[in-house]
Amino acid sequence: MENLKENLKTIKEYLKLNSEVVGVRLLKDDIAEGHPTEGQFYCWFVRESAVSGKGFNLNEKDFTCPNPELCLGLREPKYVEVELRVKEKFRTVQVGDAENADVLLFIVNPRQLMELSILLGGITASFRGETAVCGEATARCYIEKKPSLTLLCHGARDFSGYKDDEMVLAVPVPMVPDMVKRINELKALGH
Amino acid sequence: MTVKKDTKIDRVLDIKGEICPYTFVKSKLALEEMEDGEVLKVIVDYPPATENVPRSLEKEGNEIIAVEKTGEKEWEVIVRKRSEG
Repeated sequence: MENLKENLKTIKEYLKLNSEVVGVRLLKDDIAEGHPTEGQFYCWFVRESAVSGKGFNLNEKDFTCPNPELCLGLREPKYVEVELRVKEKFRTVQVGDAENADVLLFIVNPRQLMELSILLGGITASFRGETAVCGEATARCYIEKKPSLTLLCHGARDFSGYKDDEMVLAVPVPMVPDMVKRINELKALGH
Repeated sequence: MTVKKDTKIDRVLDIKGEICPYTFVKSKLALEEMEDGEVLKVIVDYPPATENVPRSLEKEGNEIIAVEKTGEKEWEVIVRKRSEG
């Protein structure tokens, strides 16, 4: 998308966001390169990418938490249906690069989330503390093409390093230009 | 997938009330304390656990013998410990 990098820089500065905005792309093909040396939770890879700027290509073998395999289309459920899951079949989850991403993940504190809700014209949230970054944020945003908030799960907070005041908002990439337009309007009004 | 009546259960882990990731974390910890070939029965009441417990144990090389619905909101996962390598 044209000017995406510049637009994300504008949003980051406006939010005073210290971490990177993490792009997530679901791919139908296997990619041999870019896999981590050790398996981790999906939410760990997302936070690591936000903090370090690293990118990852991830498949079933890379996840030590089985939920992202189901939520992000890498595997079909065998015993019960899973509420928040991408039903299309994918083979790779690309985490990091915002260019060509399907979904953007913002790791934010409550104040930054408030600012984002203003830029987005409101956020309607639904969360229950399970399959959080993979399901509630990434999968739901991918499926519904709307911003989706998660207050995370025990996996994210207890095993993946998320701080108590951090939460994740997923935003569809096509909404970025309007967010920047709103920032410019607010700036012109002296905010 | 039904458990054969003569399958000997060596340990029962009741984790009703737990949600993920503690469902599969506690199951893995229980298996770590068991001998190769022993059978663990995990009782859960959290539907996604019927997916994530067998999957995470299977990925570590263990054998899933059965996943059975045993009540309105209760399932049993029967797994045989298989040490990889």
